[in-house]
Parts: sequence; structure tokens; C-alpha cells
Amino acid sequence: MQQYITRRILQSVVMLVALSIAVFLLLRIAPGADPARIRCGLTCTDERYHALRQEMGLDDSYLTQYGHWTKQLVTGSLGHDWNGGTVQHEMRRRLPVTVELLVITIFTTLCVGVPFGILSAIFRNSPLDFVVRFGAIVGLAVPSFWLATLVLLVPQQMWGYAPPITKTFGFFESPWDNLRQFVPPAIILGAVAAAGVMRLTRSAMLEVMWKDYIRTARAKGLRDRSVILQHALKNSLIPVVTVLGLQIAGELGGAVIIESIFNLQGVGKYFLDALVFKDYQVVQTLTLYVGVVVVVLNLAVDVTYAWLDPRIRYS
Amino acid sequence: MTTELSERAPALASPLDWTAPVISRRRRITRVARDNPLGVIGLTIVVTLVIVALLAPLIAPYAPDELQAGPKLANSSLSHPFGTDNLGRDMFSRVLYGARISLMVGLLSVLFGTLVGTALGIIAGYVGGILDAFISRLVDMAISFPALLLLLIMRQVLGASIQTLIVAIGIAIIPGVARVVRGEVVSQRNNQYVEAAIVLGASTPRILFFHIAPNVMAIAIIVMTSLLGTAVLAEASLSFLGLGIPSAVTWGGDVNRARNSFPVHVPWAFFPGAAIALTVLGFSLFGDALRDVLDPRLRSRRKN
Amino acid sequence: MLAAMGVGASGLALAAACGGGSSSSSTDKSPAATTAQATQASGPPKRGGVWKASNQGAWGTIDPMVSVGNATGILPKLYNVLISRSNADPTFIFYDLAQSFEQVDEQTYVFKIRPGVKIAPNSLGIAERDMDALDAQRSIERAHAENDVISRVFTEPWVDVAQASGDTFTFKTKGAYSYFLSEIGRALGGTIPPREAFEQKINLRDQAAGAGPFMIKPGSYEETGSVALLRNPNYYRTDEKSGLKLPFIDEIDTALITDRQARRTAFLSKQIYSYGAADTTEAKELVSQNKSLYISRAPSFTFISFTMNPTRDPWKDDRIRKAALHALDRKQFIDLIVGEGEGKPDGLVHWPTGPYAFNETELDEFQKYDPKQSHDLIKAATGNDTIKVKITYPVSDIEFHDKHLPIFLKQMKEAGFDVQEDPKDFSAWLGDYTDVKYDASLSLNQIYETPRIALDWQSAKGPAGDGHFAVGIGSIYPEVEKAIMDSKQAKDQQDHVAKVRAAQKVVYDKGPAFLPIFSWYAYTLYWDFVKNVHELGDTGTFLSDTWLDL
Repeated sequence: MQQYITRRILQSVVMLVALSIAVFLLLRIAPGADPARIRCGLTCTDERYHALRQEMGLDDSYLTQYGHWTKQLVTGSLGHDWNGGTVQHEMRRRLPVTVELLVITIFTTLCVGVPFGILSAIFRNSPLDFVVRFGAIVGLAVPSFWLATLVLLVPQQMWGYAPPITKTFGFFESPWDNLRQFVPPAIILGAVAAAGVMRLTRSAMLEVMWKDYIRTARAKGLRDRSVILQHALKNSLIPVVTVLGLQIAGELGGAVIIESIFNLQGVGKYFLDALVFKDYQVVQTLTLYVGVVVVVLNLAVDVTYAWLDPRIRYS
Repeated sequence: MTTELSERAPALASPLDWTAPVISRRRRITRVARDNPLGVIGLTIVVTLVIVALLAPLIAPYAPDELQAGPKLANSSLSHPFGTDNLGRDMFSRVLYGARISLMVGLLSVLFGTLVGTALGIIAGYVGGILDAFISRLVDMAISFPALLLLLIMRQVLGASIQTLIVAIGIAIIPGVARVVRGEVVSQRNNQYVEAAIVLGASTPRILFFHIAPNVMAIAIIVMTSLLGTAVLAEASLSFLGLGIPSAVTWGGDVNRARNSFPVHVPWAFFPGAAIALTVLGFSLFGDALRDVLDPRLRSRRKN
Repeated sequence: MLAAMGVGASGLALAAACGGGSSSSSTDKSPAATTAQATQASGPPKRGGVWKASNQGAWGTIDPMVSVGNATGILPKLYNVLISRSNADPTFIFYDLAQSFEQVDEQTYVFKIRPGVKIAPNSLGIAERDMDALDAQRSIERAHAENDVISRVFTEPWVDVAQASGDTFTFKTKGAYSYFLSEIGRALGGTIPPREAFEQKINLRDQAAGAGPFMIKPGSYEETGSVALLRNPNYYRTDEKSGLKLPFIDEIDTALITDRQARRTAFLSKQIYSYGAADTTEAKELVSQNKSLYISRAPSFTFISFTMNPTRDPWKDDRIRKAALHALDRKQFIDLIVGEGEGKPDGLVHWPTGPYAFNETELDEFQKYDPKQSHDLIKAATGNDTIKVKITYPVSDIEFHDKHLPIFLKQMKEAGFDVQEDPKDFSAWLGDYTDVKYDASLSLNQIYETPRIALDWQSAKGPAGDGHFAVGIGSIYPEVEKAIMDSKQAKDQQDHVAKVRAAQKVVYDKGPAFLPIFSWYAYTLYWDFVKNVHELGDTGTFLSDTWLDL
């Protein structure tokens, strides 16, 4: 296992470098106005435009620009973004917001999706199964931003209630405001993902319930319930864990729409705006961060596979 | 006994069980239909949607872009069953025409993404070793790569069209599917039937095709039916972010425009959204039933 | 003056200066009560409270000479102008750093500097002294010296002399300039920082030091990305009627909210105190649901436009351009988008500018909606009934643009244009639009408070004066160029109006390449505890006598 992990880390480093180069190049060969032109705005004079180009290093060779960026990553000072703020400061301010949203979302997903998936599988074709499956399908069908709209609109119309929406409150700063802000969007995101997780859990459980070693365990005289819980659950979690890993990676881009609707100053909208405004620093750096997290997560997922299913062995 | 025999036999990818007496095809279909009422409902919905999409130009009472076909923001009425939007366009016609694009985007992108993703996942999961490592890292990279950046660039190069959207969403789907499929394959690979088959000298393609693929198909179908909804929703989300196709008639575009208006005009907002939900519902129910029917082991359990 | 990046991620706004002739010296005048306020009973003003504002996008730099777009709200709160004349009500002039001025001759203006305009406490080490004529002079020197100062559009071609002398400041323009008084008092580009900023190269990007009614709450901008303002204890102004020192409000907090629904929710739950409605329907619905809200309605100097590139086929032909002119049924745009009576058609100069624009009856003479004539013109030019054209537009989240698009396409098709659509993402579109690499384009919102930029669009050098965006037929017809130049050098108000109108006629005759469609009334909603709101356009942002009855 040790060797496996080491090998994976080495491979991942190579992947991350490739990722950074891919994003770096793709940004620069993309057609359309260049970032200096965009940042210059409509009052752009030619002198100002060229001055900006130089300041942003756009006239240097790709190699120089890449080297410069990697150096900035190490020192941690990444310059200014298209709004004039410092990239580093913005990241530090926004990442905790997205992370908190993510954590609560995952929590909701697991707490809702997995138990219902299990129940639905155990009581297959019962009324409970149908209700849960129907609920899951509705959950998948309804657009999350539509649900979010209702969540804001209905309490406002009926009770004049709205969560804090002008700025993002930190948890340690004012916990109650923070929860009021984060829980509704997280539940929406979590419920939608829970639907998918529930279906996968159910499907995997059903398949697993007929595997050999369960029959073997039964033959040994163990009771039904412990059989199901111990053996089926572990194995059925494999696809769930995979999906979770994907979900986290996806969410890291930030749930852009939800963040906009609830005005959470997270990484999502920032990243989207950076893309639109072609802010190379922000896009490259954020992509790299996401890459690192994805790598770590996938490693964790694969290690979890081995734990869940003892037959999987990594040499 | 019967169970074990049929399980140990070479995996049967068709609903035909070789130990069962031969019955007429019609009775077989009837029985399948009876056992899976939800699936039948799903199939009906899907078929209806496809027919509606194909026949939209014939059924729709107005052109979808006809301005002031009725008064602005009208409620449901005989002449406008789904009301009108803020420019007076008939929502019923727009929902009908919207089916074409939304279905096309959903089906084609998911088909494309799932096929490629499944292939990659199977190869990575089964072959293992360096190929697995390479594909897995590529997939990792694809997951971290901002899909939106790819979409933006594709739009600039290929134009902001439906085709670009289909390809972009398809590409975005591939890594997820590949990873899930690979996970399943990895767990199946160590199955004792596979080991037995290898010992018996079965060739790799045979093992892949007869043992791994059918089991993977179940997961692939479930994932695919989930993704169909996601793809249709993705189009709606992209409209929200300003990355949609403003001139095209899409359900997502309409939901988004309705969302922003105030007061929220219920018919305008409800019907395209309901259409999305119905589509997802239909595909999911159908997909679930299809999986139930095709899965060899579940079939045998049912006979007991 | 031009400004950029107004609304949201893909927003664009071209703001401009106000127009008008000259005015001799006059004294401070209180602004008339607005229609909104006329219905609000209010007692004597109260001092205190926190004003909760919202902004749709980040501020970028808050350096008053460099900043664009989103900082329009706060620069007038932090800094001063010599004077600011309202475009909405040209009889109202806000005298700030200058307590009076005199126009000595066509080209010379002498401003008398007000004593006691004291700089606020600040963290930039600038002394809390009185602003003087030398500060004004240094600001012009800075405009000459630095490339990114936005007032260069005005100073470079028009300012000859800008000289401080004791407590007066003298401007001399290069020839009579009709827009002088508008452009020295812009919220964007007209505000004057203390001269130390220029002399000592102090960076005003994240911090401020000015003599306006408010000052920056120390550290707020850098840490939170959101500007918070505190009352400037040194502010010189006192409210005439009540005798209380201005500003009434203690503090201004601004929230950054890009999503409209989030903004509406924040407003309805009193987390912000004002809200710009999307349209009349929304404004009226909100007010009918909640009796504690009131509406402030003012013409919005905004419009969506259609631009044709006259150097490319088929738009090279005057007749094809005129065919497009007659294809547009502006009434349908108005009825569908804002509702009848909530907007008026625009000519080449948009109607909120007042007498400079032709009224609806007059417009019918030039740009009557007549698709048959469009067909005839196309036939005369090409021999066919219809013509294939490629029209590009940005895929944007600006609501008005989204609503214009389907109507525009439909009308063009009906007039004989076989439109091939070429939607582009914002940055791609912007690049092409700036360098005029397109055939024709529906463009994003333009916002000009005066006719100057509207006419400059028709000139060879374009609205920015440097060739960017330039589609003006002035490049083809020298008479157009001459007429536009003439309108910038009027002797007085009357002359100016006549010349602006004359210039439009010349352009219409040749087939304009830039067509504003229509301008609407903007509705802003306020909670009823917000008192003394002004409807004076940009100038209103300098006034600090709004108060909260909380």
C-alpha cells in the first residue's frame, strides 16, 4: 500500500504540472480580446493599453510568463486581479466560504442519500421504495437554482423573512448569521446530490445483496441484518464514494449559481468572472488548487475502495 | 439450484433465460411490462416527448418567436394553454419547440459522454497497470480542468451554437462516467468468475464482453439516466450564467427569464420547468426499469 | 467622459458628460423637492443612522482620476468638484470647491475657490488642510502627465490653460467648447484629489483622502472588498434650512450584490434601503404589495443601439443603412419591454437630453417605421427584395439587451434583412467591437448624460475620440464631421441646441451608422424612512442632505 501511495503521489505531481501547462496555454491561445484590453476598458488609449500589457507581463515569452507565475505561487504573492484587489487576499477571503458550503452540503448528501438508499434497497418494491425513488427523481429533476429562488421568495412573501444577503458572515464572527446564510443553500445543493447518491446506493446495494460471499456468510448462520449492514453496505459504498469525490471536485469550482443567488462571496462567482475577464492569474491558480484537492481526494477514494472491498488489492 | 446454474453460466446479456421454457415474444414483453409498471410509464413519457419534439412545427399553434401572439404575461387560457411570456410569445408553442433543443442537447451530449467515458473506464479498470494510471490521471486532470474555460473557448472558436453546447457538455461528462465505471470494473475484476475464466483460458475480449460489460452496464445506465436530467439542467444553468444561446428556444432559457421577472409569473415559470422535470422523470423511470430487466442476477432472483 | 464596466460580469456602460452652454456667476440654490418626495411628509431632518447601499460590481480602483464605472456612487462622497451642473435640471448647479464662477469670454472661465473646504482625516499622511486652487491645477497637470487619467478625453483636446492664482482658478479652452461646464463637474473624472497625491506619488487605489462629505472607514476596502464610509468631521457644508452640519448620515455601508433577485430580497428585508427596479411592472407591483415603499422615477440616459460598419458591405451603401433605420418599430420595443408611456423613441440624440433631441413627431420625418420603404431601399441597392446580413451581439446578462434581441431580430427580418446571427461571448465581442471588426452589431447599454458622445458616435474618430469603436460616417462625409465639430463650439445654449439638431439632420441625410433605439424611465424604490431623495442625475450624488427617519 505504501508503495502504491508513493507512486500515486508522483504520478499526480506530473499530472498537476501537465494541468497547469494545459490551462496556461489554453488561456493564451483563446481567441477574443486579451486581458489587457479587457482591463483597460472603454477609455483605453493605446499608451495605456501597452503599459498594461507590459505590467501584466503579456509581452514576455510564454516560458518567462510561466516561470514568473510558478515563482509567484511559491512566494504566495500573486499580484492584483482585474478588480484591483490582491489575488492572495481574495482567495483567502473566499475559499473558507466555498469550503463551508461544501462541508454542509456533503453532510446533507450523506445523511439523506445513503440511509434512504439502503432502506429503499432493503424494502425493494415496497411503497417506501417507490416514494423514496420518486422523491429522488423529483430531486434530480428540479433545477437547483429554481429551488433556490423559491427558498428566497416564499419566506420573503409570506413572513417577510430573508437570510443575511449583503455580506458573508464568518462562522466564528457570528455563528447564527453564518448558519442562516449557509444552511439553506447547502440543503438545496445537498438534496439534489442526495437524490443521485440515493439511487446509486440503492442500485449498488441491490447488486451486492446477491454476491457469493453474502450467501457464504448466511450459510455460516449470521442473522440477516448484520449480514446486510456489514457486507452489503461496505461494497455498495464504492460508487457512492466515487460520486462524492466527483461532487467535491465539482463543488470546488464553487456552486456558482447558488453563490450568486444567495450572494455568498465564495470562489465560484470569482472564478467565473475571472474566466470572463480573462484574468490569467486567478484562473490558473484556482485551477491548480482544485487540481491538488482532486488528487488528494481521489487518492483517498481509492484507498477507501480497498478498505471497503477487501478483494481489491493494490500492488 | 436453478439460480446458481444460471449465474454460473456465461453471462446472458439478453432477457432470454435459457433455462426457461420458450414462450412467445409477445407474452414475454407483456410480462416484462407487467413487472415494471413504472418503466412503462417512463417509456411512455419518453416516447411522447420525442414525438412532440418531432411534430412540434405541426402541433404548435403559433411560431415560438412570434411577438405579441397574445397579451404579455397572460394566464392560461384556451388560446394560450400555457400563458404567454413578457414579450407576448405563446408559451405552449415555446415548450413544444423547446423540446427539440433540450432533448437533442440532453440525449446527444449524454450519449457521447457516456460512451466515451464507459470505454475509458472499462479499459482503465480492467487492464490496470500503467494504462490505468495514465487514464486515471488524465481523468483527474479533466476533473480539475475548468469545464467553463473549455466551453468559453469552444464557443469562441466554434461559435455559440447548439452543437458546441452538446460537445462541451459531453466532454464535461466523460471524466465522471469514466471514474464511476472504472470503480465498478475494478471491483468486478476480482470476481471469482473472472478469475475462473482467466484460468480456463478465456481471452480478454471475451471476458470483457461477457463478464464485465453486463455488470458495468447496470451502473452505466443508472448514471446515464441521472445525467440526462443533468444535461438538460446544464443548459438551463448555462443560460443563467450568461453562457447560453439567447435566440434559441430552450426550456432552460425560459425558466431563467421567468425567474428574474417580478412578480413571478407563474405559468411562464412553471411550464418549461415542469417540462424539464417531466423529461428527467421519464428517462429515470425508464432507465431504472431497463436496468432491472437487463441485470442477469436480479432476473434470476425474481424468478424465485 | 467615458466610463466602463458598469453592470455585472458582462456589463458595459459608456457614461458621459452633460451638455450646455455657458452661465454667468450665480449663487448656491437648493434643489427643488422631487416628485417622489413631494408625496412624503417629513419633519425636520435628523442626523445619524447608517445608510445601507448596494453595488452591482466591485469598485476596482477608487482613485478619482482613474476609476471607472462602479465607483460613481462613492467618488462624489469622498472628493470634490469645482461645480456640477445637473443634466436632469440644467438650472441647478451644485457649487462645491468653487463658490462662484464667471465666464469672462467664450473661452475663459474664472472660478472663485471657496475657503474652508477641509480634507478629512486619512491614513495617507495628507494634512487636514483646506483645498485650494493649486489642487485644481495639479489635477489638470496630472491629467496631462499620466496616461490612465480618464479626464484626458476632455483635457487633452480642449484645455489650454488651467492656472491657479490666489483664490481663483482660471480655465482657458482651445476655442469655445459647448460642453465645458458639464465636463468639469463629472462624478467620474471631474473630482479633484489633494495635490500631495500627485506631488508625492501617493497611491489612491485603495485609500482615499478628500474633502467630500464622507471619508473611508479605515481598512474597510482592503479587508472586505467592500467600501464603508464614515462622515467627514471636517466637511464644510451646513444644511440651510435646519442649520445642521452635513452630511446627516453617519455612515454608508455598501453591499456587493450582482444577482437581481438577491438584491430585491435584500431590499425587501431592509438589508439595503434602495433598489433599482428592472421595469415599471416590478416597481408598481412592489409598491402595491408594500405601502411603506415609494418610487422615484427619472429618465434613464440609457439605450441599446444598433451599429453598422460603414466600411464593409453591404453597410457601405447609404440605402442599406437607411433601410435599417426604417426597419425599427420603436413603439413595439417600448410597448413590449417597458410598457406604453414608460419610454420614448430615440433619435440620434436620445430624448432625456431635453431640447437637443427631436420629439416623436419630428422623428417621424427622419426615421419613420416603414418596412416597405426598407424593402424598396434594399431593392434599389441590390435588385433583390431581401439581403443577407451577418449581425453579431454579445451573449450578456444585461436584462434590457436580452429583451431587445428577439424584437430586433424579428423586425429586421420583416424589413427584408435575412439575418445570420453571430452571438459571441462578451470578451470576444468586446475585442471585435472595439476594433470595429464586425459587419453589424446590436450593442450593450450606452449611458450618456449629454449629446456629445451620441454625436461623436457619428464622427470619424468615434465616441472615445481615438478611433476605437469608430463607425461614424464622418469618415466618409466631411460635412458630417464639420457639423459635429460645429456643435461643440456653440456660443450659447440656444446656439448649441440649434447646432446639435442641425448636425443630426446632416447625419440622417446620409444614413447614420449608429442607431439608438429607445430610452426608458428608470424606477428606483426607497423605503419611506429615506427622506430627501433627489432626482438630479449624476449631480445628485454630490448632495449629502438625504437623511434617515429611523
